[in-house]
Amino acid sequence: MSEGQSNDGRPAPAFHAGLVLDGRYRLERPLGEGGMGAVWVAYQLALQREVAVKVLHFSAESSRARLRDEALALAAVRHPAVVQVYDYGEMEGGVPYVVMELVAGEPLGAHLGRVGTLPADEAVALVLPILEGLAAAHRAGIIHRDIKPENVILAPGPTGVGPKLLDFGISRRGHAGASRLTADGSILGTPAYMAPEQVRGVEVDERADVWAVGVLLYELLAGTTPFAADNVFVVIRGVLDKTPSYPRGARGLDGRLWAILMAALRKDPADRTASAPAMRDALAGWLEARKAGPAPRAAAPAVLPVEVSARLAPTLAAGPGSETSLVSAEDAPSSIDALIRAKLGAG
Amino acid sequence: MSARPRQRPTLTMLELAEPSTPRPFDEKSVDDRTDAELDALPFGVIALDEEGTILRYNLYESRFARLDRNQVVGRSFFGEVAPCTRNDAFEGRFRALVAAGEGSAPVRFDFLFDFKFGAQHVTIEMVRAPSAPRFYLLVNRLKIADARPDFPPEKLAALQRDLAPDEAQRGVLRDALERRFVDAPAPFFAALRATCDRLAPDTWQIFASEWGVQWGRRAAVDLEASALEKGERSLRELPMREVAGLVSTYFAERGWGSVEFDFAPAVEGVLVLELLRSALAEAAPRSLRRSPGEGTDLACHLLAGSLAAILSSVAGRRLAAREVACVAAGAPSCSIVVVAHERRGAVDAAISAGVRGIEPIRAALRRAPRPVESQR
Repeated sequence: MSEGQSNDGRPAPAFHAGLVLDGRYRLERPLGEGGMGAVWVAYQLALQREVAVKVLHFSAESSRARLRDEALALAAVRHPAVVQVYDYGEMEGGVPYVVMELVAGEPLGAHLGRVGTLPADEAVALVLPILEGLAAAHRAGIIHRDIKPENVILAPGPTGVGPKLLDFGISRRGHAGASRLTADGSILGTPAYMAPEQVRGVEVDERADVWAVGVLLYELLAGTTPFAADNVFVVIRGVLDKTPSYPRGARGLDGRLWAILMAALRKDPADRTASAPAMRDALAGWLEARKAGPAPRAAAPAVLPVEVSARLAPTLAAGPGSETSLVSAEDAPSSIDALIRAKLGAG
Repeated sequence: MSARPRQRPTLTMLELAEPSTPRPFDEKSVDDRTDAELDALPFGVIALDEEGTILRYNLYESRFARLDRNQVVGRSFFGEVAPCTRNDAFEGRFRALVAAGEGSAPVRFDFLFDFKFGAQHVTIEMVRAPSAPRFYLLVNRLKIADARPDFPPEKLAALQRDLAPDEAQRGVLRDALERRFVDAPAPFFAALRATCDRLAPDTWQIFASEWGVQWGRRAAVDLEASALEKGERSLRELPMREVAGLVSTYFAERGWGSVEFDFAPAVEGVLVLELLRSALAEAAPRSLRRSPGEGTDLACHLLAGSLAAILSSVAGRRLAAREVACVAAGAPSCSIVVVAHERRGAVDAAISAGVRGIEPIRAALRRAPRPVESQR
């Protein structure tokens, strides 16, 4: 797609600082560019405040209708962890735009880049409001579809700095169906946070967001996503098949939290934690128990007499043998088995 | 949901498992090992927290318990995954070990696992990780028997029942990723090699040998499973000729070619394998056949690496396997020599010097100085 063209081939208006949309929003400076559109800082003339305006690269009627519906639904979601949608409009030529709250703060991705990992209780405390915000969006019928550290801003709010989710699915549903392909056929976004059903390209529901929060929480604890690799195909293969590795270095991670995390990362959505509120409740319960002190130990049954072991694993126990050949010529036993095994240290 | 057909894996494998050199096994250090290292071990490893939640679960255990790792990690071992262990003999010992606190000695006992597909005689070792409240169960299978008819069904692992609708077709392997590792077809590697030769011709041998070793370790688990499941003994206890037969069948069934063992040179510490057919050699680029020398005339590194890993597992010590003649370069068959790991240097030196064929390599080995004995 060449610059200045919308997806259906009609020329899109050239965006530049100073351009006023519908006589109401004056574009100030570009914030970022994505596969589906560009985000600008704009000045809302009537209310004299700065807002964020996302201008999208498509203008087909069916796409616009869907986008309008979703913007409407999201505008009804009021939650401190969800970016507020103010307005929806269409420019000449049918190019749609969405006006949103301008969020100031540090993206979680940048924060993680600085601190590496978070202790388990801080990581869980950070994820809880995200899940609450998602629950509100899910109730309104909106699936985010692209939760990742870059889409979470740590923003100052009335009760201190908290996470705010940007970039809800509205900007990705412009094209019919569940496809996340851009116009040139490449996958939009990073597959590291995509649920297996998303990778497969089937219709997704709220459980895809539960998965992504699971990946995010894993990353906060481990400093890396569970399926991280240099090659996108290896990442995708990991998403579909690999069992996440237990991050032994994670601070404060215990078996109970691991169980909650793995329940969010089950490959089959039918096995996965069913909803954002369910995951929130499990994590809140864990955090409460953690604050109350160490988990009470299950009562140990009567101590049984136990044997103290030498070694279980026979094969590798010996390590490299001291013999320099399979069998030395001096041995020359008659049977092949004895010959091969004589000095192999088996058993 | 169990009635829904599972999707067949469609992606080819592109990831080379992280390289790992087997270290001498010490149960105290098991917590330091990466997942890939645990997967290379020829016995089951399960890591639990102090309440019995599964933190880690290795490849061998997932195959023998016929459980998908993606399903069991994060679940309660005693409560959900292996209810047959919910008794004093198993869980009781675990709780006692947990209660004993840091520095407690490992615990070892024999146990009978009851699965719906059969019973497994095992030796269990429980070890507390030195630096964290993590507990490792090391599971060594001794014998696989028929299911006990009188065992209460509610104590059989429910996950197995739900998760294995096509168990008969899938054998012991519950892990699609690892299944693909051992089932990767020869044409896939031929295509890979063609690409490799074009882009980075020097990397193929390294890649193929390492992949072969990783693959062979998994194949060894497969072979061990079939040996135990046929009511026989462990591979390590089978007569060598039977092991050779199993290995030959394993390769032939997967379309890699036909392997024959020659035990005669074993008096010199050399095992010779002849590949009467090798899918890799047959698929090797024609340019390879025209330009022998510098080791690039050999096409079967992958099979050599795999055989080294299988035979090391059987032998219980590290062995090295090297191809010393290849059909791709005009030899009548592909020949692989297997020697103790400590002697591989002499073989490599001869190959680099252009020596080809079994007899010349054996002669070179006879001339080579004995390597310094390694410390035990």
